[in-house]
Amino acid sequence: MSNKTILKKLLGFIPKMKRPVASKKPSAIPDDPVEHIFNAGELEKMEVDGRLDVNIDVLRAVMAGNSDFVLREFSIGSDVRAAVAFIDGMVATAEVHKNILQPLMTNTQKSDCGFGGTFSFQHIQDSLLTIADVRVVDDYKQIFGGILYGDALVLVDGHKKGLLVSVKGFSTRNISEPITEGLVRGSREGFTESLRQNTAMVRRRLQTPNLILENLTIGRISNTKVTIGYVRGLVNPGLLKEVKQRLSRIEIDGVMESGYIEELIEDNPYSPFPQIHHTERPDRVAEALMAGRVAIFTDNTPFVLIVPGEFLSFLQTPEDYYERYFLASFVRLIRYIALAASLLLPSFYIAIVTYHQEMIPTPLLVSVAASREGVPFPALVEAFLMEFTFEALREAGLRLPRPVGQAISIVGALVVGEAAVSAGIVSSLMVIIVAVTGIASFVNPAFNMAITMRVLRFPMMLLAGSLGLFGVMAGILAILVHMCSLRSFGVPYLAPITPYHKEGMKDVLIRAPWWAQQHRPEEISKDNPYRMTPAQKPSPQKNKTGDRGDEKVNQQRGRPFRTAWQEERKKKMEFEDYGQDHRGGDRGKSADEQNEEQNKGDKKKRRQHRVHKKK
Amino acid sequence: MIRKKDASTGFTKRNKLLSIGLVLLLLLLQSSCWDKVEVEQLAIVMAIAVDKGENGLVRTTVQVINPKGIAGGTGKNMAGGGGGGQNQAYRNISDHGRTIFEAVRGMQSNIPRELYFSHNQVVIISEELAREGVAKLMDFFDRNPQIRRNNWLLISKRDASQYEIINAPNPLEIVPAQRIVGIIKEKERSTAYAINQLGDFLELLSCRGVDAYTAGIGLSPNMAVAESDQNKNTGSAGESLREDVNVTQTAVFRDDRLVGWLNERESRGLLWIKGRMSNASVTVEYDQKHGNVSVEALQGKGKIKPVVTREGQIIMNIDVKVKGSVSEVDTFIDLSKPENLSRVEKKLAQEIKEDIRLALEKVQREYKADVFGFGENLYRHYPGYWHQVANRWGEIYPEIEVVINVKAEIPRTGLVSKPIEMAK
Repeated sequence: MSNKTILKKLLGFIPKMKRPVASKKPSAIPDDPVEHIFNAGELEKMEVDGRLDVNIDVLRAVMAGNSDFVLREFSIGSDVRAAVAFIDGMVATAEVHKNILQPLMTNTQKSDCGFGGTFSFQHIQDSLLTIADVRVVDDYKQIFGGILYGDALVLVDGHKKGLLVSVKGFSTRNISEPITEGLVRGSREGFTESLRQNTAMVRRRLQTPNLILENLTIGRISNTKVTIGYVRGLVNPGLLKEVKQRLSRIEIDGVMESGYIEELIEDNPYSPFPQIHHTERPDRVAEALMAGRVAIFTDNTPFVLIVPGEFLSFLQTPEDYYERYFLASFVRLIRYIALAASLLLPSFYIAIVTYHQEMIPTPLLVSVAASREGVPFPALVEAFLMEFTFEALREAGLRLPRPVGQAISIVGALVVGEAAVSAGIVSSLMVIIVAVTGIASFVNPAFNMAITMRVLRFPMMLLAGSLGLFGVMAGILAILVHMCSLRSFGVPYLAPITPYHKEGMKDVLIRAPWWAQQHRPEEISKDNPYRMTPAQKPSPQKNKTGDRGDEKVNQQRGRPFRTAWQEERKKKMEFEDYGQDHRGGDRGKSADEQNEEQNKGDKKKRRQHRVHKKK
Repeated sequence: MIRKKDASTGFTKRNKLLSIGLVLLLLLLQSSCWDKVEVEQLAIVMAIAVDKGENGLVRTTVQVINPKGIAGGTGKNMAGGGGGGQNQAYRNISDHGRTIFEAVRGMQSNIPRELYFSHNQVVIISEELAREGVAKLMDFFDRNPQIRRNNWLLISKRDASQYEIINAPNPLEIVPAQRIVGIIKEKERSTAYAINQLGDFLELLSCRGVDAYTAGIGLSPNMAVAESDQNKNTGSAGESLREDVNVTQTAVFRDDRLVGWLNERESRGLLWIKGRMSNASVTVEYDQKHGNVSVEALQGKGKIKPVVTREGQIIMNIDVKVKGSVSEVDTFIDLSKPENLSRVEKKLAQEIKEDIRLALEKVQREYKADVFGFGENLYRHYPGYWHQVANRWGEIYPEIEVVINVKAEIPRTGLVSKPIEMAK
């Protein structure tokens, strides 16, 4: 994709004005360029002039007061004047020397080209600049879009166009292990702050021309590059359209992190639940793209957004799929229990201790009562006190410089664990409850979901302290009702539990082995349901009985390797086929119409599928 | 975005949220949490004992535990066992009243915490009161939502003061109530009494055609203590006591009045019929020459089947099926021989039959109480006939003919089939 289209998109939200035909030279340079604010619309109207001096004046005027703007005038051959402009620090200066200035200034001396005002601009572009990415530009919006992102501008006297040469050379962080999403088995690569590096990491994992990475620019001041990634043919066009539409709606000064975008495009801004996933892991993005999701890369942040994000995907890690399914299922079970504990444990404790003492076994009641003996606060206040201390400790440890952070943990352990109990301010059982809750909330693999649970814990505690278990149950119901009403980019938040999808459930409570998980998430990739060919469960060759045996042996014996419906599905899954034929012409239609048609097609398909199964 | 107005209320969405928030805030001003009690504010009752007081009043004693005395609080100031002082594990409080409830509320002036009955485990009623009828006492336990139906109901023997029973100090289980419950938990191994939980007992009381029964509790001398020590009974930890709490025998009720006791063997007979035997030990005499064989009855099933003859005579068939294993043989008997084993089986059946006969003798003929539920069984099998005789049941019942069939089977003989033969 050329930079031209990027730039067109970048300022797409500004209503295009008719270019005045007569205005060949740039609109009047203001008297005091330092004070003047050049907006994108103005820059777009300004075209490159044929006279180099005028162009240089414009550049100087726009960049007036900038210490890092470099403009070098020189001659090509003996008498053709030219200039190169770039931002210091954004370009690799050595590249500018070697591949722009050197060929233009030195090599032209020996060249036999006829210089002298009539030489070919094309010649410079084609033969002299030894850089791969060179673009011809003719207005200042494009020019500044380029040089502010690390391109060098080459202007030649007598030509109403300039050349943007890509010599980006700003330094970025090296690829390192993702800090927030560590794992035992799996890729150790994490995204960096460089957009291109990030997209390349995903590209390396999905080497198909059908991986599309479209560019946008968001931010009136920041002009942040944002890339939408999806797999053509797999992604639901309605979803893609929606993502693009929501992104194009954003008008903001700047985007410092993908969190800005997340808050501006999510479905329910009042919900405590995150509805968009963010990750630092390229493998996770690649996996999501293969499921038909859309990724949103933002420049200058290692966090990539994935939409749609349903509740259950926040409880899954890439490692669930890398480890064998036994371990993965077990870990998942632990995760669900921990999720419930992190939300409910303190409130259950409060409710039982203050209202429902008959519900716990006598020995436990005795030890609870003994540990609470002499504690001056009601259980609710005690719990709030401890939870607050714990959250404060966590936050303090997070923000402090690392050497001081250790001191915090010592203070925390001593104050909370020991001194508070022996002073009789809190009961030892409450310390245990708070600690277990804390551990449980760290089990949650998604930090944003863990925070949601942490925050919801406090109203739950209030409910428990005022209404007992009735309050807790009412709270749980309220949360569930809310979750049922949530949608993330059209996908129900609780899918595939509700709406129920049988195939999807294989990846919920347990993680079924790969050979059993033949379906993509149904709510997301409705039209391309299968991710693998059937009958791949490893088994010994059963030559004598036939069906499930080795393909060759079966062919020799004239038996099919797969049953009819399996064969048909395999045919359907040929590479070309996942670029969905029946939907090709529908893109112009409204989203509703499309959905309707898809649903019809879907139902039909499912019916067929069922028939096959029966056979 | 355009804010839509809700057609029904005219509120914008934000206003709606705001008003919900305000309403929720108002909740904080309400004097809610009316039944909130912190755990440490509870006086957890573990046992209730009801006795006959002076002037026709009921004397009620509750055993309240001191959690700190049991769990030790922070563990620093824990004194040993049920010793005196501040950290005694439990405390007994007693008061008189015309009803149990009155007495319980009367105690509240002695104790700074709310008496809390949900964790009560044992209810002890004195024999004296029980002989006057328990129905009026049971109402308190039936009506009170805090009292669980799984409390064990015990009748204290006439010769033992209740105070002594629920105050008998002991080193094993610190609180006497817990100790009694511990004993009852092992009831399958003892078979010396038939016990009922409060709920079952209440059911038996309210049912026609069946009478209630439950176990007795008393004190018995501890035979493990030497004669010379017998004057001591200080109850400090680790010391054996002169007298021990003893759950034994079965109290038999007719209607709601206690009419008499079944001894250990008769209690066993009752348990056989009720089919509540498991892990019971039965010792039979093999023959004159040889010694005894102890059998552990692993499974005992009892069944009562009434038959009404054409003449209107009622015959009760009691079928008991027992499966057991040999636990001990005190002389040489080769149990690998089927004829020897079948002799043991036969003897076992005889023994059980005798148990049942003795129980029947006492209950049916002497106490005229229908604890076996003959009436209920008759009603189930012959409802029409039952309605004819229901009014005269009291007269008919003692005269009913009972046929006892016992089938004993010993599929296992333990690890050895032949005992060690002495070298000659």
